Amino acid sequence: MTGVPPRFATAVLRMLLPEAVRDDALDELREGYALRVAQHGRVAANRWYRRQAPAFALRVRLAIITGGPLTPPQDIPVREPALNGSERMTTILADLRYGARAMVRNPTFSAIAVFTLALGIGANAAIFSVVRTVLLRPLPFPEPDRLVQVWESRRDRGWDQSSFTHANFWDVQDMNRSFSAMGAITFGSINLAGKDNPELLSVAYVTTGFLRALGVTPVAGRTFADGEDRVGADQRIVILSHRLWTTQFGRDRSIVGRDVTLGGRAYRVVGVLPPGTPWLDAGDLFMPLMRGPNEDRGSFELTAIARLAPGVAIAAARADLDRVASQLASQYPEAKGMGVTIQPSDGWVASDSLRRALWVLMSAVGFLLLIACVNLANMLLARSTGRIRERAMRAALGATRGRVVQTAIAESALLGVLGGAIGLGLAFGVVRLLRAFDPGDIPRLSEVSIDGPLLVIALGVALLTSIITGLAPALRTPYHDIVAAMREGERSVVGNRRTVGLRGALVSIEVALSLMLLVGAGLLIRSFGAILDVDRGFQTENRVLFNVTLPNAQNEADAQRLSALRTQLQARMAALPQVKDAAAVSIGLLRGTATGMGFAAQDKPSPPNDAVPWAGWRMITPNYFKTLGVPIVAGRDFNEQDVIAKPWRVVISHRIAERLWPGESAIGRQIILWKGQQESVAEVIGIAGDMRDWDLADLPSYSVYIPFNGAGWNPSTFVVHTTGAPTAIVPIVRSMLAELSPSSPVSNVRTVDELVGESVAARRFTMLLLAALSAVALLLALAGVYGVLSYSVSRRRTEIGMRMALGASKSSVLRLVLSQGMRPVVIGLVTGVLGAVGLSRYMASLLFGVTRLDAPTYAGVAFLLTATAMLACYLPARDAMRVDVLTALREE
Amino acid sequence: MSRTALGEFEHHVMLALLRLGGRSRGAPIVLELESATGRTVSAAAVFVALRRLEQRGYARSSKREARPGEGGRGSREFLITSAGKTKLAESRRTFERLWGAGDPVAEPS
Repeated sequence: MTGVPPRFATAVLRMLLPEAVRDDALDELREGYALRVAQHGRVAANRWYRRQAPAFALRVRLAIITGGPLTPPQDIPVREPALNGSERMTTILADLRYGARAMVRNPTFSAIAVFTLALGIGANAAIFSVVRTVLLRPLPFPEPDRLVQVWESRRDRGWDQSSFTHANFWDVQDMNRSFSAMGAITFGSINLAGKDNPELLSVAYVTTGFLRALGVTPVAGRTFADGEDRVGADQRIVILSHRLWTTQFGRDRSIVGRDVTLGGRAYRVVGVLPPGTPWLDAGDLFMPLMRGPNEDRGSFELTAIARLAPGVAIAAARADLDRVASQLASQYPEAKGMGVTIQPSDGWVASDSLRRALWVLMSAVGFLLLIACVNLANMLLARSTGRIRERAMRAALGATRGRVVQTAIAESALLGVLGGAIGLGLAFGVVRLLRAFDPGDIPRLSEVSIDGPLLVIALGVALLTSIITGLAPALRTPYHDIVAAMREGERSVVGNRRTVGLRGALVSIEVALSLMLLVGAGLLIRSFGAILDVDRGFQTENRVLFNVTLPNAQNEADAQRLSALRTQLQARMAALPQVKDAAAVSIGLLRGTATGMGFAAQDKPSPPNDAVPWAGWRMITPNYFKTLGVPIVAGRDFNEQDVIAKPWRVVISHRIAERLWPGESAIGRQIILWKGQQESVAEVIGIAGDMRDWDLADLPSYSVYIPFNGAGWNPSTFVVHTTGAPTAIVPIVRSMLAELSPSSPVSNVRTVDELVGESVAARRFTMLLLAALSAVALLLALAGVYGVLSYSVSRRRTEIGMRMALGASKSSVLRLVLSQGMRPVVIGLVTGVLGAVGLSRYMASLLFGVTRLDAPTYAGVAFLLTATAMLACYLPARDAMRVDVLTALREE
Repeated sequence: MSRTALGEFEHHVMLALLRLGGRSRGAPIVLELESATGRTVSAAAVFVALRRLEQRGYARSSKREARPGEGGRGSREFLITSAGKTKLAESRRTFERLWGAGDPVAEPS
């Protein structure tokens, strides 16, 4: 009756209108048209309609863009009925079943995908569990952020952080207004009389404020009370560490209040500490550090900590301590130039180098996970291309895009859960392995475990990564091009070329990432080799070190007795037929903390205080150098007549002689010891070869050697050079001691080889881990290279067959395939080298003997990657050369 | 979309809807506006304005069944709500207050 509006304009409008308002708009326009036909006739109505229609769509779209949708909230059009909860659940279950069937149908693919993910997740979970325990877990004390370490400083001598002198510590404790508690600790040892052999226990001497500052609650008994460190207080009290309580006293609570015999005297046990690190394991026993009447300000012995009072900021505390320090500096001549610095407690558990090493490892596993993800994405992409027909079919049968994506997500989530679970299994194994290979200087390693939160995090990460990697291929379903997809299947669907390009890019990323890891591992391996090859200065073969603790010297007469006993022991050992040489030293090689003294030449102008060089010192018996195979460069070794400080005579290391008297003879010269402190002048009687005897990674030390003879130092470390197995000497020494000094234990038995091994254990640990990680990364990257190339070769069979039919030689086909396969590898190599150059600066401090831009490492790694990638390319290339022309053509 | 004041065009659409008995489809409103203003009115503008008014609660709409002989679906019918009427009255009062008692603008005669 009213007629139909112009068809073409309607068709255009229908196309341009947003779907949500399309019907409404067409209805309204049609009605307007009908009204106009009735009023003005068909021609005018047609003109009106044609003018309104195109603008209509634009206007509506603009309105939607600027003001939101136009649909009333009550009737949003739906294309299919919304699923309620249980229906949605049913479809998810169906998708999961579908995913499971797809996995079973293609077991090789699924196994590789799951395992790839498991490797990434497992490595991450394991290393993260270490990082979390060692670096992130808070200290086992209340409000750890209020704990600080306190140092003395002497800016004029260039000391930023020095231990405290006794007197300065007590004064700072009394005068500061910033700390709610302050404490100091120093270390010693004592003999515990046991059933068979006496045992040497380490003692931490702490002020009463120490445990209070930490806020330690004892497991049993109490901690030290105020005043128990004053002269006149009962000195014979002791707190047990949790370890000693467990190993020696079977966790018997009734030990509190009883006496134990230590160093021949009875001590009352007043408490037991909780387990943990740091500080709580600083000694087997804790005893009060006594506050004497005349404390000195010259010898820096105490490690100090404090707890900031509530509401006191670090900056305010620093200002307060500056005030205290300047007051002390003006009051006491020995404290001239004194300062006090504080540092947060962050570094208490892990040293800087350990932190650095752990973060490097954490980044490495992060890289590994990335590589695993890239690999997984690559595999899923390859498979999704193969399954386009299947998805197109589902779309054609009415599945919405959401449903198709949901199915894909269900599949990859299944992969993720499986991969995560297996990865966690791997992580459990790796953590056990790590704990078994404990290099000894990673704190809390024994506490590392995979626990609930970590489990959840790891599974979450696995799920997330698998879903994200699975999403990309799912979204590539050619939803709008169903017919083409159905017809052409996987052959030449639009975007296939792009897919191949994308996969190539993913391979480049994998190669780049694994190159960076390999460079890191390579640098560490080279460092490790360098450190083992370094000229240590001493010999290691058939040499053993052990500590002997003789009865402690209380006075000068005791000290003489102790020294005589030491000399007697040394002589007896040296007399044994299987012993070549024996000597004793105050502090063993590569062990313990460095002793230090400033030194200067008496006959040269003294350098300013802050330019005084610093030397480590050791007390040694005659023959120490011979026992370790160190040459006497000039002068002589000590003999029995050289006694400590009577008069001062020293042997110095070659580097000191070169520093103080370059090009001259140092023998007979006067050297000032403890320059800037008590300043003793000594005659140089000998020059010994340089040794790296504190840390192999340090330069050979400036070393000053002082006669052990006459010193009441305890314990002594004996060094014995034997003809046969060095540790066989230890039982003989024990029986010798049973005769000479029955209460004296032998402890810390190590061959020099073992000491060298232990001193590089942390490096070995980091190196092996990084090497293992990069090996896995390399493997994954190679799998990626192989996967992409073999897929592309299989898709180009026809083309290759044609080329060969038209006369292409096998070698030209090989070149073609190789060049295609190696292109992403080369791109990855270049990117990776650039990345490695940039990232290596973060591990510069872990290196020794190589620079971070060590060319052989980079070249070696690049060669390794290129060679293995060539191999990975060769296999598909060989397949390509074997293409049978007829078969290939028939496939088309 | 918490804007409360009516735009001028929205105001016109509301008044046209009121003149058509407070209930009308979009197409008659376009014609009503055209005859009132003597200018061509964009059907799209009316289309958008009606839906914005509905979203703000000044109008309601329902899809009417097609009448016999009309063919296809019927178009949406809009109904002015009481909130819409209140709004119109309110803006009328505002205008009147602003104009005041006098007649400062000489109307062209």
